[in-house]
Amino acid sequence: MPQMLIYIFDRFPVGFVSSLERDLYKLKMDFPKEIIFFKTVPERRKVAILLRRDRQDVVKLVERIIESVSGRFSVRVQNKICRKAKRKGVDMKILAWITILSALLSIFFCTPESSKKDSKLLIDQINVSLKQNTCISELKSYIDRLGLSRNELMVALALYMLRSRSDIESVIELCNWALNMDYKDVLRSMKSLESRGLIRIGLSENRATPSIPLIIGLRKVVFLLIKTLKNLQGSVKKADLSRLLSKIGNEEVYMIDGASARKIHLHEVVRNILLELRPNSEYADRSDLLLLLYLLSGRRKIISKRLLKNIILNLTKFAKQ
Amino acid sequence: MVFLDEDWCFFLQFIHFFGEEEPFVIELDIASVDELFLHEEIAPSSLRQLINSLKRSKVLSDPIIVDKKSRVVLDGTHRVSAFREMGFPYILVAYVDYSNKLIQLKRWFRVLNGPKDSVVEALRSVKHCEMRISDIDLSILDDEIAIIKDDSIFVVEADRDVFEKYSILRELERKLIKRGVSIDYVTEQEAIEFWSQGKTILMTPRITKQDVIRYAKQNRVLPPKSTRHVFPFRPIFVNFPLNLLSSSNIEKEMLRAILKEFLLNKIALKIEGRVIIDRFYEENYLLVFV
Repeated sequence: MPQMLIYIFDRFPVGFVSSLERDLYKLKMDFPKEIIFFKTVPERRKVAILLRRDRQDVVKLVERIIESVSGRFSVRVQNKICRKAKRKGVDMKILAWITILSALLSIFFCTPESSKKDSKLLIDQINVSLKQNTCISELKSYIDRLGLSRNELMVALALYMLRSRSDIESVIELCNWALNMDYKDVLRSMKSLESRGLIRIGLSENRATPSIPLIIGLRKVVFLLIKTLKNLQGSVKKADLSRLLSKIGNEEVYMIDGASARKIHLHEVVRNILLELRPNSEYADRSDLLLLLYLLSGRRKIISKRLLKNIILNLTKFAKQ
Repeated sequence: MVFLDEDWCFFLQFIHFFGEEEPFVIELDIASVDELFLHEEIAPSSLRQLINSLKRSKVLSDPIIVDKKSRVVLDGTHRVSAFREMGFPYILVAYVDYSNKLIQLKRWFRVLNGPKDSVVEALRSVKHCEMRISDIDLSILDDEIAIIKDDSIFVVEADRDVFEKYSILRELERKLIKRGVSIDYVTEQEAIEFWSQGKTILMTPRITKQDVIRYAKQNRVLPPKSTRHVFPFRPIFVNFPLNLLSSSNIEKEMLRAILKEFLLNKIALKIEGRVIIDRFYEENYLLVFV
């Protein structure tokens, strides 16, 4: 349970804020999980620190800093305990996986239209590879048996991915962040899954629980999707896609790195990512990665470096299994 | 990663369920400052202060709160005006559905400090009637401008139109200030406490959400401190770089994508509200970006 400590000083002289911030920042580096955030508000002579209540040792360290820098000033402390502080959102690993699965399912459910000849050719080639893929028919029959629309399947997969963290807010936020689904569509799909007895929704407890048959079905769908992905990598080497891939590699995308964005060629993205991942990465050679990128960026023109690295790292681990 | 095709829709939604009620959703996004409507006047001195502080700062800490349907700014009038003045094309917004019952529209009452005679003198400039407070149920004055002074209540006679009432209020406030009265803005609850301590209170007329939208769309702005919006939760400390918002070389779609990535790199913490951090936050929950 986090606790908000607010220190109010009788004055905040020049230079005081920077030394206080520097010391608190150092402490936050030592205890990144314990000190959630701090903020100095010079105009109100105030410092607010949100930290975990169960770590009294950290509270003491904070107080020591306040004492050492405040010296001759009087300090008043306000405590506010945040009973329901909760980390919102979903972690990058889950976000990465749902992005991969959604990219595969997009091609599975409907081929993205593309006005560019090369893109269309590549998508066609991917589809040919998919059709030759033996697990595709199995996957198709499984999805048919589940009788789910694309949205319903994605919501169910989000639930499956989140597992014990599947409170309704997190499911909605994952579907929104990774799949660009509006919360109304997510709720509609959840209601539809509930009406068929596939999930149970408790709005008052803010929880959605998938039924055992749905979990079994989804486990199989995920297994088959991943198998499809592996086979797809293999088929790239067989098919003569190199010319096409090198052309596609010249397409420009925006790569987002933190708060900066720059235009970059797809093959350069590949080079950068591979350089950063080596020597740990055993996942991909250049063409595999380019294909993966294309799958993920089919109609997407913006690539987030952090998410992409997570996707590749997850696939690396997966390829070893 | 985000889709950029014709049916591409960008938003980063944060949702909160309050039992079986309709959920409250905010969408963090980038808006062009020119597409927004203001419903309150700015206070020039506050605007100058804000511009100076923005010039020093490298980030916009908190998003402004905007009704998604009408594009009316519910919270952040001064920030929008500052951005317009500084020539910044874009601003960080939290879109909400203003029709959601969980968003409360409240008022600011005024505490009048200064010579007591000044209040009576200022009242001479407007039509009003005087009553004894014991003779009247205060709730029937919900739509009126009224000054409660000791045991007397002065009700200002005004047109039925809320905008007209607030125009009279603006004039009355100017006259009060001219006569040396200083004005503090307080919540309805605080006003009762101040009155019980013997202070003179100015009650402002009730205003509806429909009024706010209607006047803003007609570019008829209410005086400063007319409305007080309380949201079920409020996003704070996003700290989005100002240099990105100030550049007209970056397309809006690109900025939205950067924002999405920027937010995904942060941890969003939902903490209990009704807390003083840099000011008092009346909301039940705060969404703090760390």
